[in-house]
Amino acid sequence: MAEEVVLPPSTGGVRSRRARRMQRRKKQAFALQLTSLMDVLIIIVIFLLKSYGISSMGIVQSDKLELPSSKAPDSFGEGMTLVISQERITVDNDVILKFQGDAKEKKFLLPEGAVDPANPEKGILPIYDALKKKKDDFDLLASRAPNPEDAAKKWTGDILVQADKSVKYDLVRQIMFTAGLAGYKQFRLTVEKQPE
Amino acid sequence: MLRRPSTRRRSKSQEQIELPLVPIMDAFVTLIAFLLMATSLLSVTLIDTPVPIMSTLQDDSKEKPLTLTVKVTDDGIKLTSAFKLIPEQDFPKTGKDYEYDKFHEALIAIKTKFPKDRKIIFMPSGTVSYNDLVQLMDASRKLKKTEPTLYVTGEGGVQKAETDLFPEVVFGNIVSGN
Repeated sequence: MAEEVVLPPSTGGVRSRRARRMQRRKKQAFALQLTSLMDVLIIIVIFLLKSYGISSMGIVQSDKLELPSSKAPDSFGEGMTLVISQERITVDNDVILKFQGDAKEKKFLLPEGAVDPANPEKGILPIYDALKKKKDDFDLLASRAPNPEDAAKKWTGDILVQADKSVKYDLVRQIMFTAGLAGYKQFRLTVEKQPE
Repeated sequence: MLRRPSTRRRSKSQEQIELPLVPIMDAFVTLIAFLLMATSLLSVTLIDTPVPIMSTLQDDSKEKPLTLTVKVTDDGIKLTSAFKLIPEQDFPKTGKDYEYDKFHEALIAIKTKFPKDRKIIFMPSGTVSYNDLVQLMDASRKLKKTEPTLYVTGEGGVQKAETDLFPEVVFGNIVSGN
């Protein structure tokens, strides 16, 4: 039989010892169950880490750039990014030239003076200058490295081309030709992955 | 002497150890915020196309290379080989679209005859759209999952399964433009 204690009048009268123990437990600090929350967080982190590799290619989503879709296998990489959008051409986010006319017409007309009519074999001059400068910067850094020969070998010559799907091949060809003149050997065409 | 249950000593092993999860939670929440900022829901991939290089080295190979060439114009596609190892094939456009499926089937037939070749040269005219070129590259890269696998006889007569057609795409008219 439970022993009964007489409580002071302020506490409400007679209570059992068991009831007092229960009351004491309730007063203890409330412990949050974190384990299940941790499980959820870990799953979210894994999902985000999986998609992180894709985003590292620096795709700037814009309504002026619609990439073509392709069933090409997964491939990722780093390198200089050349973007041909409907209104301009950028190299590593620096605007190199803006197309003539309205971007909505998608004519991709180069501005006057971009190609020297007397020397078309020099390619698109502003793009050549921008790409050559990047290459020269790399060569300068390599020459200052402790082992310049090894540093110079790290030049891959990769260029990531993000072109709008309605660009005509003639412009892509001219840009590829210009990049080749500036010392870039490998073009990596960035496309939207289409599920097989 | 018997002790009251409340005053009994408990062994250390019976005590519950609470893992300090709060700092780990903090780290995870910070990591999620960083990854959410850096992530992109647009799934992209890369198609490699090397610049064609002119070589002055003499070719000592006895066999004539296939040099499979695709001429793409606004009217259609033409499949040729520099040494006439395959008959020329034309695939005129039907409406606005190229005949991707027929082009793909023709490439499968060529691959069965020349299983070791992996290179294809694209010679598009200047007015062809970039999107059409990417679709043509798709058609020439791989067998579809529903198509039967090709078997290539490798070194030592060992047969191996081949799902690629001509995955190495080179643009042949970057310099000339023709």
